[in-house]
Amino acid sequence: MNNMSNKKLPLVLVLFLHFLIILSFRVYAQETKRLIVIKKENTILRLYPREDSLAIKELPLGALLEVEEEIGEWFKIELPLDKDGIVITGYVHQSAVSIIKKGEEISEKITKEKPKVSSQQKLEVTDERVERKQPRFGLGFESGYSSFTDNNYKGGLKYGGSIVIIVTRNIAFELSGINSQSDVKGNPSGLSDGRISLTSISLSIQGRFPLGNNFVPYIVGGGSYWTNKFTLDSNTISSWKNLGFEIIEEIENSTGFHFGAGMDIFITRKIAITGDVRYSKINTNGTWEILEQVTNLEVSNRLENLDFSSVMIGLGLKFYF
Amino acid sequence: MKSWSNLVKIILIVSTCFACFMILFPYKSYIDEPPGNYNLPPINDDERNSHPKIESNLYRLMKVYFAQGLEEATRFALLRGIKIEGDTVKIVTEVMTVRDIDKVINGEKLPEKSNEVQEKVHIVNRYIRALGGSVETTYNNLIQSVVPIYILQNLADYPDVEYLRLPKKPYPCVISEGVAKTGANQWHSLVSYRTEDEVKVCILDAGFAEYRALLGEELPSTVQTKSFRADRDLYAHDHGTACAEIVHDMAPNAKLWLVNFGTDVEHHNAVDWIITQGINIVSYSMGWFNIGGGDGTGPICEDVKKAHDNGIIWASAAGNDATNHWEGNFKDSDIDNWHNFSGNDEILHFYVDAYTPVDIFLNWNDWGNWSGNRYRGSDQDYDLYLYYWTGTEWSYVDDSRNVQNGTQWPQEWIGGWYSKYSAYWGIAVKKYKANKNVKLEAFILGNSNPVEYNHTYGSLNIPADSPYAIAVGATDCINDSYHSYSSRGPTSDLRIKPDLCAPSGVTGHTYGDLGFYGTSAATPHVAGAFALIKGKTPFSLDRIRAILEARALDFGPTDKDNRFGLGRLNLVK
Repeated sequence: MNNMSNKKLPLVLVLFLHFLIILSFRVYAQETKRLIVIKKENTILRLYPREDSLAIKELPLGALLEVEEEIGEWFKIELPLDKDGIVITGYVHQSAVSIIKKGEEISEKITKEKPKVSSQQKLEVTDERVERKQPRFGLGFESGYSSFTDNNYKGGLKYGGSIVIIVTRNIAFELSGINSQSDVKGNPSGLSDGRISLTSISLSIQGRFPLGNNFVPYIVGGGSYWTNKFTLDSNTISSWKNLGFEIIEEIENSTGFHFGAGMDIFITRKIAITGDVRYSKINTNGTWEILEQVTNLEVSNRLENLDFSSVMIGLGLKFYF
Repeated sequence: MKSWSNLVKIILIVSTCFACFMILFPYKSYIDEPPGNYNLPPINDDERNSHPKIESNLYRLMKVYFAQGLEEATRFALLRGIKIEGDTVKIVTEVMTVRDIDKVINGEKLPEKSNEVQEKVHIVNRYIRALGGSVETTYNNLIQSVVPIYILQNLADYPDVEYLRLPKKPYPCVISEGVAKTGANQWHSLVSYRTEDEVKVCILDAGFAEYRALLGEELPSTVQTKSFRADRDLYAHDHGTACAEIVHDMAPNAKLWLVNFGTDVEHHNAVDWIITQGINIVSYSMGWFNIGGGDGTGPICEDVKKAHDNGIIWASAAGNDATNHWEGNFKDSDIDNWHNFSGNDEILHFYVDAYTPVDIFLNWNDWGNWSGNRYRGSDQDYDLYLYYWTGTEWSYVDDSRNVQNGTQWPQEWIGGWYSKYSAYWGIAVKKYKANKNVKLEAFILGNSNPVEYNHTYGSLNIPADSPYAIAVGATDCINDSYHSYSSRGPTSDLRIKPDLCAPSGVTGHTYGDLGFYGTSAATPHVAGAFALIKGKTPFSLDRIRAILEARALDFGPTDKDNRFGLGRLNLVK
């Protein structure tokens, strides 16, 4: 299983780097946006790139804006509406603006007409155009409970962390690590009395479905690599040791898959309470051995198909950037 | 005149008092004084009273019956421990297993289960019934039946009959502290590891009297029982119950099979059945004499081998006869055909308490090869004689003069005699017809002290000599000292035995606080140990044996020896 872990880990790293590269291009693209300055008074920011479209806001003369997108003769811009990060999106005709080239004096671009800003203008802003700015990274911590499908494992706490990388509005990648522990009720075909500790590194895809500004339910699925450890009950060990026998039981590392659903509930722009339920499918093998210490005679055998599948419920916090 | 009459009166009074004194207090000076060495008077061998196809005692019983009637025959039988009912006696008929009946010695041997032999058995069965007998049970070429005494000669004359003899019978090796002593109690609370196999232990014994009263307490709540005795009497003896108690104390979770038998033929059938039941371990606290060469061969040892070949561990009592045993090469320094035990001493004496029956077994090392079914047999004819010390001389009591002229077993037996006085008895051995001096061996049961010329080593009972049996000797349950009666090795082929020792003198329900002594008590400790470990671990029985042998506490000389074996049973590290 150690060889398997050596093969799997580089693959995970490669995938992570790939996404970082993609992300970098997007960031770069964002940093090279065009700048424009409003050169006419009474320039109106419209809802759609049409002359007859609804007026959202009057743009002040000389306002310096970033162009998000060019659509025909119109420039798409975003304006912060308030200090909480809410923005409005609209379009301004290219005839009302001058494009700023690098190093160029902005003042030459402004017309001599004095600006006229009317604070009384009413703005109709539809919800469609007022949206939260999408965060790009999330860092999460959570704890919860694992309930195993095999009755021989009693269930127990789990805890872990995750890194969420939001690729688009609806898709995100999640790299997470969790640890789950459980007491074991011994049975002849499985493990003896003791405790298991399962630690995973998982790579998952989230399908995110934002509902308004605060709620982002998602479905998630992916694969995991588990490092598994079993500790025999100390009473069992000592009882047999007193009679001159040594008992050894071990379980192997394994891979698995999981799927589930959850929800990010944003309490601020950057902080969300997260909760999810996941089913993890994990199977592994193991070995047992009993050794008589006077003769060194031993009996051993394999344990096949140990089922550590579980339903995990988690609750935590995520910090988005 | 008056003085004479007074004298006569005095004499009469004194005589009467003396007579009363003699009646009330019989003279027993010979109790304290062992008899000296004696040469024996010659025996008239013309009146040998033997037949080549009939065991000596049976033949003599028949002769007494014809000559003196049933009453005398009954008395003859009772004095020798021969069981008769009315005018019938229980015998074993050995059916011929050679192809050519004229070549009994060197004839081609037939497999005992072959159709040809079984056909003979069937025919002889019918013949026995036709003669008025009833067949109780058979095994291979052996037919155990109850027959009228007067038909013995007719039956012996039948061509397909090779030999008629009395049934061989075993002797319980008699004489739950042992649980703690061996460390078994430390295992009891342990949860089994990787095994849920049901462990089956069979106590194969003479009987299980009052076992029902112990169910659920000293015994498991349920046990399996079967009697292979012809009378199906499971309660014939309480010895097996005591043994079962110990097995249960050692291994409370083991399933017990209680199986009893009475004769060698019944024993063979019992073992065959045990094998079919999936038994894991047999606890065997019985011993046999004169049924093998002491080298692991013979019909009883063959049963042990068969069990072993079917994966059964056989724990067998070594015997309690270290002080009852003598062996030596036949010597006749005065050339009178009587064995000289020492110098000119032709009698080996031993002391027997009043009303204690004696059993004397004599055999010698001329059994021939064991084919797996039978011995070749002996042509060295020796006879056994029993004497009683009267205080002044040895008085002849009985003899056993079986014919050995090529196919018969080299053995003699005298049994059942007792006296209302504690006294010395003696045995003598005479060479009737032999061309070589053999090595003789005698077991004397009933003596209260070590026999004269006691030879403690080589005193194993059969089948403790089997290489497939774990022979068990007896140690004290308190201080681990070796019990002096515990039979010792080596076997006649010089293998070291016993294999292990175990506690004896333990208390229990059956024998109470007086204690259950003997290798009979020791053996179920070993059987129970196997069952306990088998029920708690996944180790095979062979590996468990290696573990127990390695853990045995060796109180004797380093390594295996002929008293302690590898040491006293011990289940902890």
